[in-house]
Amino acid sequence: MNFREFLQKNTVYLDGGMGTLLQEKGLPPGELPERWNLTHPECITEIHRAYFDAGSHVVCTNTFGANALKFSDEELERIIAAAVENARKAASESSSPKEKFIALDIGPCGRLLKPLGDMDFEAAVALFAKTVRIGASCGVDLVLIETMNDSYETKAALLAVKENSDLPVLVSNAYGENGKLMTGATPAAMVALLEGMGADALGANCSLGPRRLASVAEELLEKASVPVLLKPNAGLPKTVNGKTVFDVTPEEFSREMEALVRKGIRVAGGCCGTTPSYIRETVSRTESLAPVPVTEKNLTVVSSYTHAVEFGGAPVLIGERINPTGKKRFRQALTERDLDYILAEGLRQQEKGAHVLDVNVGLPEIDEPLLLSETVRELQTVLDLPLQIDTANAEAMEKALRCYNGKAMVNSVNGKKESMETVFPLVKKYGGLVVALTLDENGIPSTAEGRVEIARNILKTAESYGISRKDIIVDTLAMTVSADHTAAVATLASLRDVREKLGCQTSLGVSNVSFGLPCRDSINSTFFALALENGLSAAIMNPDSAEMMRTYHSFMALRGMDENCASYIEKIPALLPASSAPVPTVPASKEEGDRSELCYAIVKGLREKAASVTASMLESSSGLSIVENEIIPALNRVGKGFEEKTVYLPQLLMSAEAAKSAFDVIKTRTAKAEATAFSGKVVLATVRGDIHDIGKNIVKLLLENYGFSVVDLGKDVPPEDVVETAVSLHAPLVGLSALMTTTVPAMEKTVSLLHEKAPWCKIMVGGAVLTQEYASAIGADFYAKDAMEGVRYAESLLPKA
Amino acid sequence: MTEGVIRKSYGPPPLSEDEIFRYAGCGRPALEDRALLKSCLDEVLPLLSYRVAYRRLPLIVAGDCCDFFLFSLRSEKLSLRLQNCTEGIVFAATVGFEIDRLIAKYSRISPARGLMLQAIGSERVEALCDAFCEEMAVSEKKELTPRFSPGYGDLPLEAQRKVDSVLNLSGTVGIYLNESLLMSPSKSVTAFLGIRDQG
Repeated sequence: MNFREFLQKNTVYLDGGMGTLLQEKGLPPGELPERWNLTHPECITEIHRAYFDAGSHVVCTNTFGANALKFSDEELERIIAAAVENARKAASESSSPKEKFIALDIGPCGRLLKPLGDMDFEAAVALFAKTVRIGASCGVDLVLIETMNDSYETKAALLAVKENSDLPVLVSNAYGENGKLMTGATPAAMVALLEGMGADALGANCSLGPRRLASVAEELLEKASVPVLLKPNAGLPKTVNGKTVFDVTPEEFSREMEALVRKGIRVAGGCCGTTPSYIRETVSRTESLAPVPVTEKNLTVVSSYTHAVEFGGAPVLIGERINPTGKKRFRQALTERDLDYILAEGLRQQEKGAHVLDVNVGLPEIDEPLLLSETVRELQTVLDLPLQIDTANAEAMEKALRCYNGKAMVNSVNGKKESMETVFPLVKKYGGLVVALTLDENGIPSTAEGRVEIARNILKTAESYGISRKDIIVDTLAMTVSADHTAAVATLASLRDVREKLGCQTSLGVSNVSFGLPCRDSINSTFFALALENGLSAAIMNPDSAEMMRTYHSFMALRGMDENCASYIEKIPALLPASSAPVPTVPASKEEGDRSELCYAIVKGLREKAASVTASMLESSSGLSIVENEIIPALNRVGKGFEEKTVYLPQLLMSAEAAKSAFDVIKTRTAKAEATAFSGKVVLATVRGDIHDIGKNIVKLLLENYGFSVVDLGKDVPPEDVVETAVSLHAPLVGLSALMTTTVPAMEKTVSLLHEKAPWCKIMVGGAVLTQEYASAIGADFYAKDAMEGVRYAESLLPKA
Repeated sequence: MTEGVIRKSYGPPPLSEDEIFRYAGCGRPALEDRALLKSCLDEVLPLLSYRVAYRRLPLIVAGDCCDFFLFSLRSEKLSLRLQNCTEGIVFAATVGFEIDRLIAKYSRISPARGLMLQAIGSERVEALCDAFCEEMAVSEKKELTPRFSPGYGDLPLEAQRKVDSVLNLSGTVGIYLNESLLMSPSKSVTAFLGIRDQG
């Protein structure tokens, strides 16, 4: 029987621990257990056979760490082939009458993926792909991905299986005592990710005993619409008389497993510390029980690397601000690849209460596939909200979905054949909740019936791709009422129909309704309330709009979703108009020598104040004069204090941040380079192999403060990239940073390549390991012992604009 | 002969604001610095976890070679440190990933906060090491040498691989080595201790 069919109809028993048994058989510490497939095949076969004899349907090959990081390609092939052969031999030798399957076992690769570690996502996919291809060619029946404690690595492994085989795949994660993966994902988040990508079963193994994994198992059972797997440890390891022992006996283990099988576990086995007797007792206690049917939970859900967001309960707010449409400053940030600006937009929306962030970086003149995936990667290093990938470019969509750490929202598909043919295969492959716009080749129907009909057609087509309706969220299109006074009525009616007749979740880009009208917030928030009452599950909206947020919190309170109105009472004061909630002003106890309030705000590091004072100053003075007469002198004062050691680094940085907030106001108001006081760009990078960027970031901040235009290439930057940028911008100055002795050679290479290809360009270097002698030895033009020295050098070099 | 790896979790060890300011390069903290520290502590402390994995190993020191039975290291400085010890402890300590996430976030939007969080993380993991070493000294009823880490003096960073092979860092405490042998989470410490017979 094929494994998929078997899994549908039966409770499947996996095997138990391998490592502990190998140690008992004499595997010395430090030796890689996978090599024993070749050197001690009889031991491995014996263990597998004991598990088959104990009642396991599936044994997992001894390939937990069989990957190309640990073995050469040639040895890897031999090891996996031998591992499969050992399992096969055990199957034929075992006297058990049960169905027998062999699973290719895949554990974590041992390195951590970016951004927390240094391994590229694609490198991890390639690594797992190698193991999968060998295993598949050896004829295994299925794959077990197990003990994964990072969602991103789990995704890489599952993607590798899907791209390199048609094998059934079970995916199991190692949850800690807090009920989450080491890198933060909840069981619900993992269900969203793994189900979306088509895992045949999912679950938990290792780390804890069955009792302490019970709450994780129960959450998985509650959320998953595929069979749930559980493979716990025999409790926790203890050292007794120099030997590692586990504190749960086979009897206790099987009793606790029985309780969980009764609750719905369909794939059961054991992990560290379990032996054939644990499996035997578990099988004998549970095999007479009828398997609990796996039910469709119909949850519409997206996830990030930490949590899932469900649609259909409390309304979901999707922040719309990461989008260049109509935003001059945002477009400027995109063309300059100023990702910090984009990240700040994201963080602000999160602070204001958005649950999901829409990400749109589409501009005609940019490389959207590159920039979108880069933006997604950067966003998921600084914030943990699920993202909505918003693009009309199929290549950009695929790249972004691929590198996204979770199950994304996809914006969007519509009723046009071409759109569905492009988007659905991507959603099927990577998982996703896709926004379906109710328009097709004939445009947008004016009636609710017409829109519902298109939605119905989209759902039908999605189903033919294997995408169920829970993964479609219908957008019935908010049209502007200023063009058609019945537009909102049709949108609202179709919302209700989609919810009631099609049983689908819904979303709307709410703000479109008020286009062309004055006081748009008023129309938007009223429409938002009406839409929510007509079945809107999610709104793409501006979380910065206090009026929209007030409507949201009011709706929650009125609709019985805010107990004691606690959230309303907490949030509303911050959402009142400034006039009705007077903000106490900071007493401006100016110190002697402060020219102005702005100067004071910068010296004291008061960000908000610096911004608000700058805004009011701009009404009467030019941006440049504020920079020259206020900001730079204030910074100079702080900088001088730093050089004289009366001011310390944290204060220097707080002042720099306050100055930056003043600059941002000037930049936004003028939206051009008026704030730049020097001509020519300074290129900054932390050199290849080095992931420390705090020093470089400090230099960047100070340089920008002093009016330099900075291009920041980030950390771990290859020499070629630095040179390419320096050449293309004809940059007069490049700053390189390195913290570790091991990366100084990379710095030296960058310096010599720069001298060769960009001889006009001066190079300053800095970082913990560098000294003047070192800097001279590798050919740098200047050694900056701290950030202020870097600024002074740049001042001496670049001409004033 | 050799004991397996033992894992431990700790509550928050005693906190020293002076140490944090020292790490932040802040000699005489001003009012603003104190306010910044307080707000950073409020944000990060609830997110930290304090975990240690360690293993006791027999030890023979001869010349510049420290033989820990499962592996050996060549380093004059380490040998000097471990002189007259017949047992050693190799350990790894970490305060977890969450602080790295905050540092990554704030280094993009507020370097002052990023710097303060860096300093807090360094102080926290060192305080965890202190707590662990103190506890070991008490439970062993013996004197322990000061800790010595890969990368100190003439002990190359490559020693990290040996620490990893005996402690299984990723499996036991969730510490990962990258290509340059640095650790993730970044606020982690690996080190050797000698157990001295008090004769």
